[in-house]
Amino acid sequence: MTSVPDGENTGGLPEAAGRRLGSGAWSSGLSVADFASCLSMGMEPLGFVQGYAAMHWSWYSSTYYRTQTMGGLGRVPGPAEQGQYSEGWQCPHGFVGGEHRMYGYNFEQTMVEDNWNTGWGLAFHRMVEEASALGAHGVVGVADAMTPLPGTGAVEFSIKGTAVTVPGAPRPDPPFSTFLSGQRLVKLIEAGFVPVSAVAACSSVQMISYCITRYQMAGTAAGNWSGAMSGGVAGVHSIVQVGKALRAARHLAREQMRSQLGHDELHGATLESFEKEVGEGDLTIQCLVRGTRVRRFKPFDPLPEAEPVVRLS
Amino acid sequence: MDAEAIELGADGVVGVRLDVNYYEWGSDTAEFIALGTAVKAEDGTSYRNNQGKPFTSDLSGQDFWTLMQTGHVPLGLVMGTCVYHIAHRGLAQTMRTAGQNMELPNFTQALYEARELAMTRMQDEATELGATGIVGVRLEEKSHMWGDHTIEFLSLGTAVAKSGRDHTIPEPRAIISLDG
Repeated sequence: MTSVPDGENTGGLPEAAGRRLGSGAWSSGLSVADFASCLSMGMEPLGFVQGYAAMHWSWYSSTYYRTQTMGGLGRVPGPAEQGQYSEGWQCPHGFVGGEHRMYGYNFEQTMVEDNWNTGWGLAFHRMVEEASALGAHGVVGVADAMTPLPGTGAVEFSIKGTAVTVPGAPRPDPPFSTFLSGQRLVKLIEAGFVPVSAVAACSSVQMISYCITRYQMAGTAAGNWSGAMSGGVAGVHSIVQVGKALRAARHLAREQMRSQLGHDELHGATLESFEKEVGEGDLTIQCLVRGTRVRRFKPFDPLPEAEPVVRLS
Repeated sequence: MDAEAIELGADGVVGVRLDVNYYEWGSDTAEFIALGTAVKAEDGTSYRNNQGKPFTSDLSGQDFWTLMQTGHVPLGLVMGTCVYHIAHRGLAQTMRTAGQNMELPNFTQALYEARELAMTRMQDEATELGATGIVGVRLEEKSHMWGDHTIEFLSLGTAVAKSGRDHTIPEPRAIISLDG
């Protein structure tokens, strides 16, 4: 799971959470079909559990401001310096004018990644804390979100799920968690795997465009310049710098995810990329990978032959 | 809606939809709408809740059937709400966190507390109905017409209780859908 940095205080649960979790009726965020599937596996719902963290947020690090000075002549950390992804481009035109971007950079923003990990990790641990307070074996049907709080410059990480218990089974510590529920969880267990933890990883790459990239993104690139630079034909351009930034962001997110898995496997992985223009022709790119860390507990046992069904509705 | 269902001699109302409409012809005016389908058991069994009222539920017909197969009966649609105002951040606060990505514990606690209160109120309604649990819980956030800084947290779900009747949960079967 995404870790809360050492020494970070999760702040404990609000008083109202203690009152709610101690009340009589259980609550479940599962649909009725998923609720029935869980009961068929011997899982009983204990309560709807949730965790939140509001974070002051900026999508780009101070390095971005440094590179905005002197027409892109500012300095970015090199890969050898910080062990991060970093790449540079120099324009072929020479000095044209103050506004002309002579240099372009792509670089990993570890500050944004670290803070995403902190926000997601705090919310996740608070949800697991609620589940532990209920004596749960695990949390199923986990859903996460990151939403801006309007007018505050802050974002809120939220993670929710349904805590379940398996009467008579030993309780794992901490409780397991999974994005799966219902039929998809049944199929996972039928296939011989148990969920260990919901996991997520975020990468962030800042792209400071140089002149060629700017022209290409604005659609004003002359064919001989951009075509020659990208090895393509006139009018059909591969915007090399953007492509490399996107590939780097996806690669970094996958690597970060891999580092969380240990000897386990990732199930139901999703990968999303977000781009945000932070200045003329400059992009910040985030890539988010989510999935359930799973562990094999029995050899694969083929399912019974499937029954063909035609839905009449 | 409850009154209409009672008038019809119904055991319950399924597929309940709740909505709030705002109209141009009436500023500061809202219309609250609740509609659903009243149902009655053919075998004469009463499914009314401990308050003698027809149960209400936002479950679809299929979900209602599935719930009955699990040995539970619906008792009523329960909800809890909490309206919260998010304070504007002062200049000093903004300056302290400028250029840093860090947690804002006051915001976290306030929003967290608001949701927990909404859910506690929903659970209190369920307890009044004698429920053992609540299924299909949703936690919605809306600003309605109040502006971005005021948020309503609404928690709703269907309160259920064990039916006490013999039941078996069907074993899941592997199928291949022949639909496109």
